[in-house]
Amino acid sequence: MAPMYVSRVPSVYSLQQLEEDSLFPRKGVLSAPEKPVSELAGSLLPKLSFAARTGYKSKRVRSFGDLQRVPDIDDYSWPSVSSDEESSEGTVPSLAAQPAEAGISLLDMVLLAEWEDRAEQDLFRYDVTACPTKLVPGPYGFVAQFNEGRGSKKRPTEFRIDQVCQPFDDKKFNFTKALQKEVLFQFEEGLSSGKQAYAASALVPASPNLVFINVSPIEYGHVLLVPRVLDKISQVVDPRTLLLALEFCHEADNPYFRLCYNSLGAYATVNHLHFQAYYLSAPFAVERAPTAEVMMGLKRRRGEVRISQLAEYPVRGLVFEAGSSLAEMADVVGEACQRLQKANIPHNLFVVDCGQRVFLFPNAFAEAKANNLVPEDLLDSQVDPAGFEISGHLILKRQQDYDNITQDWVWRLLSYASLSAEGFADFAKLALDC
Amino acid sequence: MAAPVRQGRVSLDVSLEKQLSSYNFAFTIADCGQRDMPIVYCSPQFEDLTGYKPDEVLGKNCRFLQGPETSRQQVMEIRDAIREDRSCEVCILNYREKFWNQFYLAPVVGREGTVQYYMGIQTDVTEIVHTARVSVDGAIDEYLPDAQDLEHAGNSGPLDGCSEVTLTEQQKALDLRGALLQWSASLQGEKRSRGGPEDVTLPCLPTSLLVPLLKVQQSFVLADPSLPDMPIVHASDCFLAMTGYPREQVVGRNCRFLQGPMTDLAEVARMREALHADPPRPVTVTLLNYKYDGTPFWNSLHVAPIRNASGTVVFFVGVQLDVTAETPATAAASQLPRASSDQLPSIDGIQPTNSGLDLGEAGKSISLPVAADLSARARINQRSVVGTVRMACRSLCAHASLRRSLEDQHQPGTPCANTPASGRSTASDGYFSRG
Repeated sequence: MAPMYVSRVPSVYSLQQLEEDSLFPRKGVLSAPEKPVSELAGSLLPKLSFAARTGYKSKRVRSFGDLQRVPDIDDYSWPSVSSDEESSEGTVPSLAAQPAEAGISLLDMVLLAEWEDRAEQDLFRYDVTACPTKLVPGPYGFVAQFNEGRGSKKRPTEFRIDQVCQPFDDKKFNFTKALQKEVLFQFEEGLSSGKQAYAASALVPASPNLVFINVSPIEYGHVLLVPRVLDKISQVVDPRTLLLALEFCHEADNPYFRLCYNSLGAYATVNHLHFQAYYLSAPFAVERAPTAEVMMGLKRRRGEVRISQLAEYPVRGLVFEAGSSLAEMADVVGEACQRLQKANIPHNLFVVDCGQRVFLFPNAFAEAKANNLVPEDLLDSQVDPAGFEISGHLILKRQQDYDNITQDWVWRLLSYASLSAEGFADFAKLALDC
Repeated sequence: MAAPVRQGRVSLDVSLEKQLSSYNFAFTIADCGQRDMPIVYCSPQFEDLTGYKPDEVLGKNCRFLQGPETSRQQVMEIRDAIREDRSCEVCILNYREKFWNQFYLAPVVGREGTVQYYMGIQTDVTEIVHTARVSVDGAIDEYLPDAQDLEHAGNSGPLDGCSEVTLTEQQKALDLRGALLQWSASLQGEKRSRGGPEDVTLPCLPTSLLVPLLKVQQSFVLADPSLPDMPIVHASDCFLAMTGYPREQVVGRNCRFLQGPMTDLAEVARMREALHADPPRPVTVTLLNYKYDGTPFWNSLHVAPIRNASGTVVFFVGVQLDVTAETPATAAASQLPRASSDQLPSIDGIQPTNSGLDLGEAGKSISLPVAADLSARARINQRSVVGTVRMACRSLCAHASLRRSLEDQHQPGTPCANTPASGRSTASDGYFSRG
């Protein structure tokens, strides 16, 4: 595979300029909270910049660079996050050098704080922490949540779901119609300074990457990452946008923060490119599932990306593990998604381990449902398995389903999303271009 | 030992170290009561195996052994075990020099029923893995030109040689546990004979909750509304540093000890109203508070109800910010009189009430004319503590929390399946059994 180079997301305004310009208030403000995102021009929004990674491209030579813990103990400095001084620029000092498992990453801090702030403003349709959640007994540890509010209060799905690629439709709901107060912050690549930074108030570039709250959260901190929001990209992922999503996970640097992408036909409900992410302080069942080598004839590696497949899991899927480059990971997985889009195969991505492990599932549930293959008792639960559900987090709308849930039931439900062994073999060949 | 948070870098004592040095195999001991679970002891054989010297290792979390080709899934397995207070066994690629480590992790549960230490026992099984790799893949593996490319060998189930290593390691862990528990018990005895505070009745948070809380390097306390007078059950090191109070005078008491002669009772009442509302609401107040030595300071206090996995409010989190420097000159705390010790609510003088946040007698109070204008940084710090605590408590629940039952606590198809779960269930703990 020829290495594919990913260009950077352009930043219109220099962070340096912004920090020094006293015109901008130091308080975290949304200058136009009640206006829709489509009228962003000239607005001020908080901004989180992540480190630009120069030479951050597919590499032949291993570098113990940005991505993973370098086995050199000297890297473990112990900076104090809570230094009380605020730098004169109104930004939080870089925490990039800090292993976040020791503390809390800057992105986590900002995301949690802004989410909490929106909760205090009562922007959510319900308090998700008041929804009971439990573990489904069994070795896999599926997580179930009882949530009456989500189904009935959600924005309705307004488009056909049998096509993975559909043109963007301005008339339907998209994130340019959301209000600016639903935005938590901009998420942009920084300039050459190479450090993570937070600006409480920054002018937006022509088409910023925005992090929105999900007003119908399925767990605490549920957000939507919308790349280049004003470009109005439809719900198809490519290496470049996937890289942004992986960077988002990488910056969160929290193993309990996972990200998911649903294609149309695999239970995406808005045809405007978005990734979902939230915190769940327990492993997803799929993270516990054993993996096996991919079938004969398929490559186990693309550059440094290792490829395997799930074994003993209700839904068949591919597992990608990054080497030292997220960009390479984004290329391998993003190109696989592009092939699936062409072939009109609905699919879900589930990203764990701070962007270093990605699960790719073909999703056949909608098709099975359309062909009346799914038994009535499963349909009655109204659970449509999208990426988070397939990965092990089940949101139940009915009390009896929540009370009586078993691992066998979950297994049976999810298995209708899976391809057969033969179907999966064809899928893997197509996705991996073999 | 009941309040398991220890300040600063604590190493094991000399007599224990001497005893531990008599074991001639590679192992480390990590302390769960300190932030990020640092190594407090490593054996000479661990140095030989990994090439790390004790002064490089002590005080650090064990994850420095991981490197670029370490399987994320195996790391998850270790993390999961710690979350579930149990032992685990993984075959994992570790570094300084790359080696396959048959790693056995086992908790040491103290008298209070929470995990106090983790033992890690390392065995180099590189040869076993290499041998297995060749026999599995033979010459047919055209895609693995790199001879060091081993990652799936450790991923596809137990290898014969490794299972034997596991059994040996389990025996080693039993020996070590005995030594540690004996030492831990002798410490308790020593404390009592010195007439130290008998603190075993103090609330004790489960280790799996304590670990995320210790990551927060800001001033906050957790109070338990289900106990009489809503006592503090956890106070961060930053809280102690900020207020000057020793931990034993904080945990177990209601937060009102910070109030003093000039504290504004109207603000206190506003806070009380929000917390007693149904459902309770988060609230931010600015109070004149007093440090342990009587020094007044302006405290921007944010309090929020925290729910467990059942959706029940189990804690109130209070996040303190000292905003003295940002207050207008007319209300400068430095101009205000210090409180003398008899003006502050003493430990013994408190009349517990059920009203939670009542303040007893107070002199003339002072309120801030203009609410302190929190900087963006301060606001984010304050709210992010609440978010972090919410996230941690969200996984607590009625019976066993978001942790699997003991019989389910092993990964299907891995050698862990045979590992006895030696961490006892903490299902009896109060924060798990409510709701």
